[in-house]
Amino acid sequence: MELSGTKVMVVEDDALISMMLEANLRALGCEVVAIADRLDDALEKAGKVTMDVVMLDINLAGKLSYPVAGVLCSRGIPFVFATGYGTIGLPAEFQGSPVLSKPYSQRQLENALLAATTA
Amino acid sequence: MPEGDWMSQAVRNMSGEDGFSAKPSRGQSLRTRLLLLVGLCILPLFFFGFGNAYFDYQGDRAEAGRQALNMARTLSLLIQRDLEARLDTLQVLALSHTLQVGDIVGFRALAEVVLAQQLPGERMLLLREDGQQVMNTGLPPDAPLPARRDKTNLLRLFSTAHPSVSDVFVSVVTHRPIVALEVPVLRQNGSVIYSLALNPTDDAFANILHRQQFGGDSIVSIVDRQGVIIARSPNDAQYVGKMAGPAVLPRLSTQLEGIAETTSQEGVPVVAAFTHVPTFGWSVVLGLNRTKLIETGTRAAWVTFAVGTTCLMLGLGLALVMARRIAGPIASLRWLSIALEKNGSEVTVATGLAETDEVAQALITASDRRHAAETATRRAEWEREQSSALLRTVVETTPSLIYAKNLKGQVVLANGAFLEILGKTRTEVVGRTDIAFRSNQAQAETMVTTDRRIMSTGQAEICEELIGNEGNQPRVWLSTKTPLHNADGEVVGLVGVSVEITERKQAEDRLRQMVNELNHRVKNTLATVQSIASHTLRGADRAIGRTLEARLMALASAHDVLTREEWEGANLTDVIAGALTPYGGVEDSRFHVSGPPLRLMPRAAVALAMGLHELTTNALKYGSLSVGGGQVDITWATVKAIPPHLHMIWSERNGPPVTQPVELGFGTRLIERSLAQDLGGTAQITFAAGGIICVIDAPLDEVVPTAKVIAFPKVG
Repeated sequence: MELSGTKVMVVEDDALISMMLEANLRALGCEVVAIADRLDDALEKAGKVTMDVVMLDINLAGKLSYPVAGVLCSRGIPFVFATGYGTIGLPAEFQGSPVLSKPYSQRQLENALLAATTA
Repeated sequence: MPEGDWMSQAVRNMSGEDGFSAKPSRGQSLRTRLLLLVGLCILPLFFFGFGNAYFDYQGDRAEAGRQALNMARTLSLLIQRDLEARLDTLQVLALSHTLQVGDIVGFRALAEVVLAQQLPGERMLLLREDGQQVMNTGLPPDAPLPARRDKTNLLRLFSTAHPSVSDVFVSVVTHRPIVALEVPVLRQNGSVIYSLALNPTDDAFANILHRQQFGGDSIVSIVDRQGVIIARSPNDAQYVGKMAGPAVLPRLSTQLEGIAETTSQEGVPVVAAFTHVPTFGWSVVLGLNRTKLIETGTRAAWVTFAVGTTCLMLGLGLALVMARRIAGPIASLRWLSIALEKNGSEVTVATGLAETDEVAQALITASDRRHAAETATRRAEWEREQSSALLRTVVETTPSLIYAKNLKGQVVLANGAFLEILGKTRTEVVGRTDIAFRSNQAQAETMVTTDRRIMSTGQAEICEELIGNEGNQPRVWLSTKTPLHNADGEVVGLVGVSVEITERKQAEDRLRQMVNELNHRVKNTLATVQSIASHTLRGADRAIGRTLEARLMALASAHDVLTREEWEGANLTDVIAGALTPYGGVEDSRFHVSGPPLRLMPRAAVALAMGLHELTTNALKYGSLSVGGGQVDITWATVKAIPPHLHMIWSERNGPPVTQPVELGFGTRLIERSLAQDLGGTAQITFAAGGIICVIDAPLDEVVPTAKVIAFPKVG
């Protein structure tokens, strides 16, 4: 339970899911420092906001969020992919990244965040 | 074969220019042959008859010759005897004493007595060596005596001192041809004083001849050493003193005897024989008239000729009749052939001759066969053209590319679609390789590699090929390439059919994207539901929220399995593993999972996943998994009943005692109702002492995807 105080950015285009995720993160003791629901917004925030980990939805209103992951990689910020596609079609450079398949439970979320931040 | 060729072939067949052709015969006509046959049969008979007559004639001639010779020999002996008798008489007189003493007168008296008694009419003479007559009984005693002019015989006598007969000479007294028989009158010392000569009468020898009575047809002559006739029968007087005939004359001096055919002095044809009179140098010539011989032979020849000619004429006549009788039926065969041309086999014929009837029947049969063969050939030709035209139409009108290549990879056949896609003419493609006529070398080399593999392995292949013109979106073709074999089974090339599947591929891609998108949406929807529930239940019992979340997770897990399998079905073990994952998974020692591999339909997979989730959460809360050491056995098997069933048992062990609740919870109802309904079978929950036992039974038909066999319509 080393997640309390962890600064998390949520990148999610679905408002309801985003709301639930924020609630679950807070329940885990995390601090949601930024929210983005579109690719350009997410790219901008990924480049400048200070944070420990990012919950990154792959599909942002039809656009793939891999550029955001690229920016985060360059900054050394860990992230967890969330996707309804399963593990299909992940680009080669992100093959080893943690992926949460929607829907995921509170515990799965917790485990994924722990795995990402402690790696 | 082009139609023109076929037509001309047909016309040739019709007119019979080949096979039994009616070219003008160079052979002789039947009539000529029959006439020749008769002639050849009868002419030898002719020659045989003539030959026979000729040989008979020759035999008769030889016989006549032999007969003439025998008669001549007989006659010569008679003449010899006659001459010897006269000479004997002379020799006796020559020894007379009167002569020795030179008493010529006395000797004349003696001689006249002897002549009168023995040789009446004949004359006796005494001659000196110089030819001077000393005595001549033919003249009066005091008449002057002449001298003999021809001294040939006289000289012979004086030199040899032997008797001798003379040749014919002319008498100095009578001036008629005569002969002299002379003996020497010798002195005591042996020298010759006189020649005592005897002149026989003119008819002396002729009489001998006449006496022999050889018959009226024979001609007999006595000739001297020179061939001069001494006597002759008949016509003695006419021919005496004349030379013998030329056929005999030269042979008299060289041959003792012989036979010759000649003509007599009278002009009569004769078979002549001659022989020498022994000792005296004369000859006898005897001719037998051969006119009768010739007549007999000639008659035989004429008879042969007449009979032969009659037979020949008769034979030739018969041959003509026969020829007409045979030629008629044969000529009718020609009308038959014309009729066959016009009417086909609807012809019957009776020629009036057994052999030509057979030929006619054979012609009709042959014509029938030929008509049948022609019809069959025409039909086969027509069918071949039809199928060829059909094939050509199919090949040329199909939107598929059809092509054939040889071992070198050169195109030997390309249809219109093939050329159209390439935008090239036939001459630019046929005979060239893909490398040569394709602009995209990479695509061409891939194609060549595939072609070589097919031709070297001999295995047909179905492959997708990318073919694109420069600057255009590449098109995808599904190509079926089959090796081409020759009669010996060797691969000589390949034939290919390519169908464009670009749109199908695009549709497949779109469909895959859509399914992905749908899966994404389903998962997102579940996440949204989870979110709504989480918001809705905020403040309520947390356990309810967790239960709902767990159920949603189970549903999502089942979907995950199905998504991986592209919704075609899921393996039972994967479904179980997915359901148990939140609780430690199948590796957890509390779970014991065993059963044969079984593929489930999507609906059954989801139902089972949800059922297993409920059973697991129930076991964790109340059942065997709620205490340490509790176990769950999940076993299944297929039962080979009719229909076959899936039999599955969830069995809890070492759990706390459970009792049947008064009211069934949602989980129990979910299992017993939903599971039973979705599986088309039954699910029975028993609250046993060690935990819940759930028995699921469902027909395999309802849970296992049936392998659909699509019956393709048979081709060909």
